[in-house]
Amino acid sequence: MKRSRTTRNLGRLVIVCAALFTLAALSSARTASTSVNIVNNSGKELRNLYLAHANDDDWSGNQLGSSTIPSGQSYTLSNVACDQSQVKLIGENLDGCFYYTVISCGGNATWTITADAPADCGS
Amino acid sequence: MKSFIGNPGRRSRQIGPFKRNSMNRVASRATLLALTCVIGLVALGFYSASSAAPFHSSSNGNGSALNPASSPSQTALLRRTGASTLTAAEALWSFRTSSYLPFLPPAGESVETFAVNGSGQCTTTPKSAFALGEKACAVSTGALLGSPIQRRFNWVNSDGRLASVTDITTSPQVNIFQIPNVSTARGSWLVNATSPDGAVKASAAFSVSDPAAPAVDLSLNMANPLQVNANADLVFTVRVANQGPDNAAGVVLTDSTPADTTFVGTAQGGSTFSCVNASGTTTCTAASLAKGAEVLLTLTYHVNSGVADDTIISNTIDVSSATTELDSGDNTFTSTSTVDHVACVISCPSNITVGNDQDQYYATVTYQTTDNGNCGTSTVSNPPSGSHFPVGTTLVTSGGQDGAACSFSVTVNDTQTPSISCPADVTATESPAGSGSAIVNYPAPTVTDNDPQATATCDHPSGSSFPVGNTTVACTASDRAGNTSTSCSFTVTVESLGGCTLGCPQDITVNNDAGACGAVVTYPEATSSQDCAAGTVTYSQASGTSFAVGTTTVTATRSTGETCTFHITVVDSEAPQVTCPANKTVNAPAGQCDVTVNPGTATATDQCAGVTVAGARADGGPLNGSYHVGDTTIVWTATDAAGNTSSCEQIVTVKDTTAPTISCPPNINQGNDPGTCSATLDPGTATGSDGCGIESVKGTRSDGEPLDAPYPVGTTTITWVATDQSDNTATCSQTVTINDTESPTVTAPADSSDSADANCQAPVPDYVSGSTASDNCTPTVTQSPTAGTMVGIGSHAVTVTATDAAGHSASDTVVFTVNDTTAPTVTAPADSSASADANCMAPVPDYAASSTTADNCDSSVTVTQSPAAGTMVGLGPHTVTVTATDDAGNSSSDTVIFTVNDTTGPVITTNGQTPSMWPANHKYKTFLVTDFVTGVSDNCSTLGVGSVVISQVTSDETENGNGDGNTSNDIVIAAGCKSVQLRAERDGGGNGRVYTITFKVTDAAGNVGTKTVTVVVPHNPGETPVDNGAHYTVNGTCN
Repeated sequence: MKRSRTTRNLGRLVIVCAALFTLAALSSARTASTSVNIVNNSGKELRNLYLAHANDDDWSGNQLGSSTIPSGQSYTLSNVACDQSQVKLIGENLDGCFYYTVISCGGNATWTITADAPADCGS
Repeated sequence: MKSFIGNPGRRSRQIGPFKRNSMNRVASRATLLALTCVIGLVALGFYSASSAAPFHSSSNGNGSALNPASSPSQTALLRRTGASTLTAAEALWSFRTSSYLPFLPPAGESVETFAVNGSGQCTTTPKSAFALGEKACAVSTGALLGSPIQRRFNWVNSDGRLASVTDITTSPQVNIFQIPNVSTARGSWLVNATSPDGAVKASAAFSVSDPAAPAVDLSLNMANPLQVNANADLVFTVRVANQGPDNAAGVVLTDSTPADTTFVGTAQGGSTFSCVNASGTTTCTAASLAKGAEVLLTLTYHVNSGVADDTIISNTIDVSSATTELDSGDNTFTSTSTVDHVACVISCPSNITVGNDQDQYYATVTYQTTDNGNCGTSTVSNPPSGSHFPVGTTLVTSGGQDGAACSFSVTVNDTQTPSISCPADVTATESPAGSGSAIVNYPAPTVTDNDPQATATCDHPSGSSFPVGNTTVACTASDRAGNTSTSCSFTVTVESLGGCTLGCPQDITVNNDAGACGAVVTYPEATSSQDCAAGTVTYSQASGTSFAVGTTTVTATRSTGETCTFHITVVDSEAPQVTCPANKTVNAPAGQCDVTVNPGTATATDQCAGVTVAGARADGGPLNGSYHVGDTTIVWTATDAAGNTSSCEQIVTVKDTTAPTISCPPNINQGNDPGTCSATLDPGTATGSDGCGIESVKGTRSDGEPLDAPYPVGTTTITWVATDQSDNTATCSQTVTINDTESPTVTAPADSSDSADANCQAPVPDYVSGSTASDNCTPTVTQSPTAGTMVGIGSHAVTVTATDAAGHSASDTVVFTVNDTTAPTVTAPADSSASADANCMAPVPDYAASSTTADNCDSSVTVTQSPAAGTMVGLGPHTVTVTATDDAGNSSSDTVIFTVNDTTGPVITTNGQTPSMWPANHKYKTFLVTDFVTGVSDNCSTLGVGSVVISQVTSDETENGNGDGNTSNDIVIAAGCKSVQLRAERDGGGNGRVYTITFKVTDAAGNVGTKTVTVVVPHNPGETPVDNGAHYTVNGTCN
């Protein structure tokens, strides 16, 4: 049984629309940026800070460079590219223990690492 | 009447001296004879050879050939089936029968007949008499079995016909036969075990009768001498037999007295028959004759005197009975003898030796002479048999008519021992009175013996002197044969008459003492009788003094006046001593041969006076006369008064001082005798002369051989010496030269060869000893090169030369070949090995080039190897044979082991990936072998990725350093070593972590191949960690 020409044309229209919508959405996200203020209250100096899209492992380099975030101080990452709706962060203290968090794009986020925040030391 | 049967298996044969007496019997059984001819031929041949009977017999009226007379010891073959006792004649006939039976069954093979019971079965009851219509059972045992059939039962009826034949296939085997119920079946039957050629191997006889109609088969045979003398007895020996099957009643035998004869009498073994002779006919009757019985009768007729030679005495005898006769054909028998003079022959017995009759000096000896039956009563023997033959040997002579004579000796030995009885004791009176003795005569002992000349001997003879007192006399008796009795004894007592008597000792005779003309003699004291008063005895010459040669009478005198005398005789037994004058030698004057010589006189001494001496020349000449050239012996003899003599010899030598002359024969020079190394010749004789005579002319050869011995090749000198009677000699020499004119011959032995030694040489053999050389003289055989000379390989001519003493020679050659038969030696190099190449193979090395060789002859031995160098071979040991061959083709080998080893490890191929772990969140990540390894290769083994294991993993950071969290066991190799867990972690202050994973794979040869890959944990994403070397290592547990 053959589908009617009308039906076929309708299908084509839907696909085109969906594609245009997707492109519009992507164009909007790529262009978004955010900042993250990291507050270190863990009691340990943070030496490395890494971030990646929430759904990828496209980890960045150490965002702190040669700096550190001593305990009791904060540090703000600006212009964090947010190609996705969320960004995941890893903060590493001087012991190599990792703190994890995910922030949403589109605003200024604050990540406070408290003393009782779980640190992934591998054990 | 059936024929007389000599053997159960030979029914149809006439046996021994008895001939069948019925022609019609022969005719009626022609068929039977034909059927049994095979069997009969065997027996016929036998009987013909063995039945040379002493009696002549003939068939009845058919004039058939007669058996010639022969030795009585060769007799006919008869078998008694009756129970009567054998007569002498019968015994004679049956002598040796058993040893001549031709049909004695083989050992262990037999046939017996048994009764059959009502069920028709064979019983164990032996039975040999059956009735018509009855069943008979035969059992064969021990029969030879086989294929084709080796034995058969043959049932043979009374007519000799085969009634039944059955194969014998087992042992034992039973065969039951139905006897026909017809009257013709009556008689004697046989059941034989017969071989395929008809020979009877075993047999059993049985009779068949009709109880309602008794019948018999009487037979008659007769034997008598072939020839008979006129006026001599003619004896007919008749055999009457009943073959059954029943007893015969009223048997009558009749015989008319033959013409030209006179009836003498009859005799028989037993009393079966009663015979009378009346009206010229002898009639013998018997009330019955049991079946199987036989009776021998002798009928004796005297051939009348004057019957002419060549007259035939014919005698016909008939037998009959009241019982039905089954076969009358052999009831009549006629036999003849021819009157013919036969010379008398007497045979004496062997010499006879016997002992004497008891108490007789003779023996009564009986003996028997024999003759050939033609001597009548004329034989006379002297002394006759039964005579008393005296001890000793007596010749007996026997003589008869026709000059027949013989002799033998009868020796009678005296074997009886005499006995003796001594007389009673004897008492005599001293006589004369006072003599102390008496001459006593006593009665002679009584001798008892068969020898009338037996005598007694006593140790003190009667009539001899017996001393006063008792004397025991012992006596024995002996005869002429030397038989000696035991001894007896008695006592002779001489009683003294009383008064005083003096008894002197016995006379004494002695030889003179050496060197003395007398002898010191000690004699016993004279004895005084018991009646003597006390007194002394004196002697005319005392005992112990020297008595002069001759006889001295010694008188003993008692102080009371009684005397007696005895004699002492000293015999001069010592010869005088004589001393000859010295030998004397006198030279004869030149030209003379006789010289007068005074030889002197011998001197003689003797212990007694009266010795004389006299000389006697050997040539009988006077002692002081002329002596001839040469030695003359004078015997000087001294003689004493007693006639004793002694002598010595003196030699008077007259020497001829003039030498003889001699002339030698001429020297001889000639060739050898052909074929010898010498020559036989007569060298002649030298001639010698001398005035007093030549004693000898002798030639002596230089080789010591006799003059007439062959003279050897070369020169022999004969030295001739002429010697006169005074041993003067003259000498000359003669030479005999024999020249060897013949050359030797020599034949060398066959060519030979030898093996070269270690120096490629061999010694030349000794061909001399194997050569054959001949020459009239003994040649010297040599060879060149000499034996033992070492020569090399190849052929060498050796010359053998025979040379005699004369220089003649001959040569022969023999080829000596030296062969190289020694194989070279080869020593292969040591075993070696090589690594397999990419194709898991390796080339065989050139072992030949490096092998060591040696050879006795070949300095360039060819060396090869197998497999050849360069041959590609696979893994493992390979035996390589290295062979050395010399020029002679001798070879030897050695082996070396070449081993190909796999020494190349396998190769692991990876994908070149270096995984990076991030974030370093302390999490494990598992890596599989297959995450890196894409393949494995090896030259000899087939390996796959599955063979690869993780052997080691290292980290260039410590397991739990600063800033890397708080973890341990960053590396965990899984069991089986096929994966590893690596912790995503790195030192917080480091330059990133590098894990190094080592893979390992092992091939079949144990070679290991490894490969490493790295997994990194960067300090920061995007950075490349720097490998700082292993600081932490974990090893796999898999090999």
